Amino acid sequence: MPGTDVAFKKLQPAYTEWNTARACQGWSHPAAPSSAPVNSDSPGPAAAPGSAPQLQSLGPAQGTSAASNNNIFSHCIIAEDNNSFHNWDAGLQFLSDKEISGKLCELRDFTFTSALPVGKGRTKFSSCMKKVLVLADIFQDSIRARDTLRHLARSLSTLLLSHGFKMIQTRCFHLLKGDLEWLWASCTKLGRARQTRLAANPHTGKARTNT
Amino acid sequence: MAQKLARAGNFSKSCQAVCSDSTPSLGPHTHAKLQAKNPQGSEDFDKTFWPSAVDMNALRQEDDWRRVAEEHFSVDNIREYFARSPPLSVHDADSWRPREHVAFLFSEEDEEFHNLIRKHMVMPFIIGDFFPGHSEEVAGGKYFALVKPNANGAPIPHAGGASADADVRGIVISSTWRRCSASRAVDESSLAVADYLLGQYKNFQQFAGQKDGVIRCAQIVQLLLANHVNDDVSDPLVAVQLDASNAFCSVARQPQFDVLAGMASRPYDDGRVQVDDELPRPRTLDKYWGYFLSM
Repeated sequence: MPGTDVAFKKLQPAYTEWNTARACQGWSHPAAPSSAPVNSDSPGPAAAPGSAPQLQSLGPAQGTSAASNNNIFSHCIIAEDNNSFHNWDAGLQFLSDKEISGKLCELRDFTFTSALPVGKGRTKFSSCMKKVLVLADIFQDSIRARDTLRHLARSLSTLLLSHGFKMIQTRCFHLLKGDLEWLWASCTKLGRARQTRLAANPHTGKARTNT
Repeated sequence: MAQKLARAGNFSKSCQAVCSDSTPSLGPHTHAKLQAKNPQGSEDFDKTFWPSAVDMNALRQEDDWRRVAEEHFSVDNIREYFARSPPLSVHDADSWRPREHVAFLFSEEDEEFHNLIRKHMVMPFIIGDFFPGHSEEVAGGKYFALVKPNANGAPIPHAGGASADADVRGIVISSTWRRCSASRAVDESSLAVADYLLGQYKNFQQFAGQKDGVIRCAQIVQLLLANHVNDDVSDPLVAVQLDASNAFCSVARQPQFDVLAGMASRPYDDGRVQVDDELPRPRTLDKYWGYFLSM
């Protein structure tokens, strides 16, 4: 249809600019549509129905950029701008980097003591757990991505509860915002500090071993 | 610590905290001793008789599996497992404690969330749904060593034929989620396996898994010993206590897979079982192939 072609040509520069900006944030997209009409609210594929799963898994990436090959979540594209995983792009990229470099389980090298969540801490912790599991559920077609997110869920006790019960809500807030890098870095720092103390006096490990 | 455990309701561990004289093994050779206890077996398995992915998918479509998944691995059963876990049990490698960190996840009525926990945290261990590159971490656990004292409480000397690692007791704490799935799997299959063994072998007596099984075992042994004087000296009835040394560290995986697959990939029993021979096994374990594979 001639009208459609004209409309698409008008939207193409805006789409290109938007796509470039998204790529800078770590999100990858399928190649720009050739002639299909573009919806300005949803430049990618149609938004997923319902509220919870707002990312769409499209199977193996096709026509993605070279950068997307370094992201195991690259075949998942954002469906809406205003969704609950809106700012998880950097977090997923961070998680993908850890998985690809074989450091996904590096926090297991340290010994942590998890705080016991109570009250609002429990609610927040449950919300975080649900969020990660909902995300894992979206990746039905990629065992690698799904299993990586399952591992993230298994690591939540370390990531959210290892800094004492007073910090649980703060750390849950960071996770809900997708700030995995900050959570990871603070756990690594804590773990290294404990490891140093333990190396200085190995017998302090006795109490933890017996509990 | 003992008071804290007792107040939380874990009296067994509270008692252990007071009475146990176990100490961590922190010697310079502890790591080497643990390595000696866990010989690295070959992972070059003969997979000739292993069920294929198609076979396992077909099994998952059967009514029996659907029934087992719905009844024994239901959200209610998983919730019950975590609710009944002992308080303040040791945390796993990811710092989870079943009673304190997991049980409350089932407290609110969020069916979708509970099903997600079941689907992504528990069931992968049963069906072996893991990315192959992550298998090593999934199969592993937290491993530490205690000093194994002798009868007098002193460390075992490296003399009298004792192996160099005899004074170290390695203890593995596996994933909280794996323990849950294993517990449910045992609950589902233990009766069928016991029936199979009792029916297959006439001289087999099982007390494990029974209520007061240890007491029953002791009573049976006492009855046998009381009648010992009447036995034929040339063919006496004896009670033998077997203690499989390092049973879990040195488990031979190829025979394990052969038994689960029901076919021998190598000769066994001094040649009485040859390659391609069928191996007797309880069929109820077929559905747990993925569990054993991901260990």
